[in-house]
Amino acid sequence: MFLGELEKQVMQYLWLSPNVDAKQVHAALAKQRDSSPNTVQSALERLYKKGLLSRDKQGHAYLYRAKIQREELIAKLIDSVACDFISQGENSLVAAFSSASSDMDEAQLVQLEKLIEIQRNQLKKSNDSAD
Amino acid sequence: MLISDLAVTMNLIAIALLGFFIGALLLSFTWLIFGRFVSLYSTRSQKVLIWMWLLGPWMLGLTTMLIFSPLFEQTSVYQWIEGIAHWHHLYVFQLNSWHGVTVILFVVFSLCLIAIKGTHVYRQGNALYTLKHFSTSQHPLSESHKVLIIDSDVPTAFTSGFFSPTCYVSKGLIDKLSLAELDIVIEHELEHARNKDPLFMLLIACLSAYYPKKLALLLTAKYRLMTEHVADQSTVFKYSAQDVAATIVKVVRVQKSSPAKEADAYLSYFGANDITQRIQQLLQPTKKSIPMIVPVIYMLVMLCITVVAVDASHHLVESIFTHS
Repeated sequence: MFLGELEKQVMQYLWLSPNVDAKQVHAALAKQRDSSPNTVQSALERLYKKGLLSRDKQGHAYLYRAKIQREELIAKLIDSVACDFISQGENSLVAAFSSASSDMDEAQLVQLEKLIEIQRNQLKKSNDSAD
Repeated sequence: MLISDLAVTMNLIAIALLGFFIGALLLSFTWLIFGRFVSLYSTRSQKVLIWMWLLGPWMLGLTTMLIFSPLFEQTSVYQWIEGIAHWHHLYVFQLNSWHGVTVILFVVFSLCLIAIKGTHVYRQGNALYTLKHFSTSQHPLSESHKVLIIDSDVPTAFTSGFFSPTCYVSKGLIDKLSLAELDIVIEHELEHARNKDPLFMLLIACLSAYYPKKLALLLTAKYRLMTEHVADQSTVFKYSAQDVAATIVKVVRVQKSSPAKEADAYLSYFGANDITQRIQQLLQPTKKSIPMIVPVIYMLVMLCITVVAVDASHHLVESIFTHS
């Protein structure tokens, strides 16, 4: 998944104002950047092909709206950064802090917490007796 | 048929490859017998052993090649070795022989591997570039490595990038943690960045690909766990081991209860066993280290076996297939 600066701006505009045509997108982005209507049109086309936008024909123009919400897109990006390798039975190339292990159940977590608590208490006791 | 310098080069590559395969085979069997004892040793020792397993076949292949090469032809050691093992056609090489085929297959496999890993790295780089657009602020904790905050409810923290790694923490995770817990998570990730763990993971993934799949996955998973132990340990200077352990359990819990869709898919490559081992390593660290002399002597013994095996397998195969 790759989004350039313009594509990101288009997405951000469409999340706020759905169902607009290329002209309106161009007019709205003109304040932020100097892109030709054609450039904006092709950015919309690319985003549509990437499956991030949907569109309906109204008269001569297409009305675009975001097919995927901001939060979903970010989640997807996190997924493709971290999980691309896993689907192929390999390890990811990111170093994550931890993960929601599918095979880790509540009982195991409770057991680990107990272990930590026991050691905390032991340390406390030995510190107290040392004092 | 090739004769002279090019033939010598091709023969040396064929010798290196044969040594590489025999080395990989020997080390695979060694893992079958001794692999289960590796976990008994300290993180440092385990890392050394994993590197030995991964670099072993390359070292054995290259050293065998050097031993058979004409570089040392004039020395007495060479004469002595030639009595035990030799390559009987160093100056003649046929491309359509089994040597030619192994060299070509190895090159094709390596090129495919580079292409596959390259595509992964490229795709991941693209996703990272885009993710940076949605990462709002920077954590002021570290100067040399950046910490970016992802504007997302998915609770996650990870480090990515090969030469100048960046740490990412999501708002979803920050909101659920206390300041001390967040500091532990960030310190842990910064240690990954300082150690360039993503780069080494890529290297390990490439090197292990030459082993059977099962062993390759075991070795990479083990190496990953070691990088986690090191990163966990780096936070123990500032916080107690129990606090760090409790933070790991808490983050796993937060991630488990995350309402995000397909929550299981996000970064779910730590099995239950890994988390348990990290907690155990924090609470009762294994300090037993393996003396460096053990892997060194072991590799020397393997080298002797490889040199003899290269000669033996060469003769064995050629008693069945001829070169022409």
